[in-house]
Amino acid sequence: MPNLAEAKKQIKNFAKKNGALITGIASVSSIDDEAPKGHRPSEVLEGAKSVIVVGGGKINLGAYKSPMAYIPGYISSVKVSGVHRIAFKLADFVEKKFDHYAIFSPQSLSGANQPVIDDQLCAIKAGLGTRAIAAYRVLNETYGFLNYASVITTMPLESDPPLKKPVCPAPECVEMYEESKTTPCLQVCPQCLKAEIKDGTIKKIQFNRMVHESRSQTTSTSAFQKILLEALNETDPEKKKMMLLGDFFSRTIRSMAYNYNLSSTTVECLRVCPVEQRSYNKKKGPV
Amino acid sequence: MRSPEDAIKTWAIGQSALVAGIASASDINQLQAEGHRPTDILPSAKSIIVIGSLPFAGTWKIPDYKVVGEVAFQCNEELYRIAYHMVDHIESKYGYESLFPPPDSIGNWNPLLDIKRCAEMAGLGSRSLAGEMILHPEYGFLYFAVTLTSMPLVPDGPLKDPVCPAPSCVKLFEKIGTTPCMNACPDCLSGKIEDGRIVSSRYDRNRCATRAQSTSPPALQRLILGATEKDDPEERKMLVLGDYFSRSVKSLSYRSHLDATCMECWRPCPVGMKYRVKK
Repeated sequence: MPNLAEAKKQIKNFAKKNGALITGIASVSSIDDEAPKGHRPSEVLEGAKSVIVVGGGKINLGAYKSPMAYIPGYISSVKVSGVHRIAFKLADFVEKKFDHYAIFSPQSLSGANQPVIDDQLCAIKAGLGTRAIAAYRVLNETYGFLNYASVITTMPLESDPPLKKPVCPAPECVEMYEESKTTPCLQVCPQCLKAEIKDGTIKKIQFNRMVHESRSQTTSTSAFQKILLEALNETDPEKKKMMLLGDFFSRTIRSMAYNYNLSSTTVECLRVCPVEQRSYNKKKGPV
Repeated sequence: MRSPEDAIKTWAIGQSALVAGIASASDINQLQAEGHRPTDILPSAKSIIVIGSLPFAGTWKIPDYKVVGEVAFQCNEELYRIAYHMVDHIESKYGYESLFPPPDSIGNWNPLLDIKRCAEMAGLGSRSLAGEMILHPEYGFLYFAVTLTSMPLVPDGPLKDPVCPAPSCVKLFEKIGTTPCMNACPDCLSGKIEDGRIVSSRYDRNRCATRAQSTSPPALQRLILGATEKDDPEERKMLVLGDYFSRSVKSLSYRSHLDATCMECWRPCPVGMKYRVKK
């Protein structure tokens, strides 16, 4: 077996060859320290030492340009699956090549909207970016907003340190905030997002997921539950029939069956981020 | 020159399947009920190519069985992907009709095609006491996927000697009347061993499902029924918008935890144990 430094190199190369744009490694203990009970990598895999985080599946420019609100969300869902597949292959690679236990981090939700493992927190701890005001997502200096997936392993890999300098707010956002007390992302969605910037760094940040979800995931599982409850409460059989066989309920069920618009954002706050805009080839035009 | 059987198996293993075998469609036709025969699905079917792979060894180190189910489910999905690609491979390379039969149940718990039967007839293992899963002589429990084809291939045929019970399980049964798997789940499993062979085996699928697949489609159906029976609107609201109902709906939409077992009866099986142990 190669030494751990060589193994780390091979792991990153494998991830890159399989489509990851960036890969970082975080120690399980650093994530355990911040994640709440029940959501710690050491609770998901006994003896876990490291978390390998892959970032990729960047939403393509065409999706950003589509005037239809659900298109970027749909494309994002497809891209997320691609990143999870990289993590799947990587877990297999770690087990076969280095003979250590490895699993990809489960994607299901443990209850309500809480993922079993917070891949975004793992990405931060693996030095792949820092929290942004926009949807509390992880922002990478070079690639902007990416989708992340993780592999939890018992392999004691050397971890990459978290970034010292936060990527968000970008200098132009700091300037804008000083002038008008807002940033491009805050301006585009003042209902979901709130933040305070002081001395060029984020002092306070709030992302209201509940408000956000009801706006961007209009045909998600929660919508299904809401309509179902309304239908069950409806006493008029004709009205009930219209609700259950109607277009909105049908779309909700199809959305669940075809697995789209379940957990993505509207991307409106991501679209206007200057770091995100810089991450695209300028020749292709502004986002 | 390599035979087409070898070439197809080598291709599958190159795609990351762990094992590959071939079964005869006519042999399976004789054993299956109407509507579940290979030729009911693909009338020209002559052969069934079966591939198998192991779940991650890490799966055995997950304390939460719900997460185990999800991780294992994804391993299964990966295998389906290979079987699906094999259809293209055979049609384009050999020019024979091929089909990846949908692995899901067509009604209640009955799959369209009994993949375990196909694996047995392709020589990839034999039925075990542990949930009647197929036990491979080297690797133990595997996941399987199949491709049906009109290509006439030489079948591998079933194994001569059953893999289950393992010699250590026979000894244990002789001493205390149980095996590691039955001991792990005496409610779902029971069986009898005589002269080193299984003489009776029972796997209570319905009981297993209510324990292992607690947020699967039947769970959601039960919850919806429960909600319709509630007279109090507040109670109904708590049920439909509550955590358990939400998990069931999400489980369905994220296709996680739908048809896996809790795998507790697999865990202590001595066959293939070394492949489940890592550092």
